[in-house]
Amino acid sequence: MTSHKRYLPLSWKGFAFEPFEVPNVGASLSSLKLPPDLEIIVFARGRLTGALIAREMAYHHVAQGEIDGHQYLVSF
Amino acid sequence: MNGLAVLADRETRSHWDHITGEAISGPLKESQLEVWPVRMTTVAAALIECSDVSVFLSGYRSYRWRLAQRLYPRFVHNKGWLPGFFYASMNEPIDPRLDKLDQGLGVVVGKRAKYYPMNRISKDGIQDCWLDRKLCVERGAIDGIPHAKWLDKSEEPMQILSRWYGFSFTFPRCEIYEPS
Repeated sequence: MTSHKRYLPLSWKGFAFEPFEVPNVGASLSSLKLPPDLEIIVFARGRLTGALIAREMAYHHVAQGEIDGHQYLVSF
Repeated sequence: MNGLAVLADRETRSHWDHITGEAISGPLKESQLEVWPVRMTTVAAALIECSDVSVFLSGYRSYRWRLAQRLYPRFVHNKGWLPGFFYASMNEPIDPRLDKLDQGLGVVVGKRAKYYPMNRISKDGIQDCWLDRKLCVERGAIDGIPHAKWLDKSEEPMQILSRWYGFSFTFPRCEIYEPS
């Protein structure tokens, strides 16, 4: 999703989680020694192909970042 | 709501559906965000299929963060589990056409939506005539996770890997794929 606003996820009756603020620079997937069966969420925006760790997103629910002046958020 | 996360923007406190991108309440009600599909996969599959992926690791740590990771170490191939308060948040009964925790791929085109249960997608994939086009739904050779694309232009429709309860609450009376 693309937006100019900042979001936070709410669960039942206002129980809020901290969104994941995506940094501008990530680590190359091939450089990390992550378990092969680890689930990840891959997203593409402009020149960026990014990945988030699915089980980390189990808490955050939403990630938000900015690329080329456009804000985006990732949820699943 | 309905066992699903709800997003709120900090500026107006409007509430947003995290699947459709539509504001469901608040000052921005009925506003619509641009949406696009993300892809659930595994590290092994991504290393082969996407050569240049930047991974963003969360530095956030808390008791609830650790608890969420323990409760949901995997999303795709496990049976799934819903905490009791999820049910308390549901406004109506879950659509009984499938098991509430069935995993599948939901495809959305405008106001139309169709759900492809994972257990109905053969290892060779399926080709489904829908909306006067042919949709190919295949499971990844490495990760086993389904993915859809139109055959005529190789473009991807909006799609989301989802448990049945979540997809059916978001798209009530959606179609369900039936093998012929």
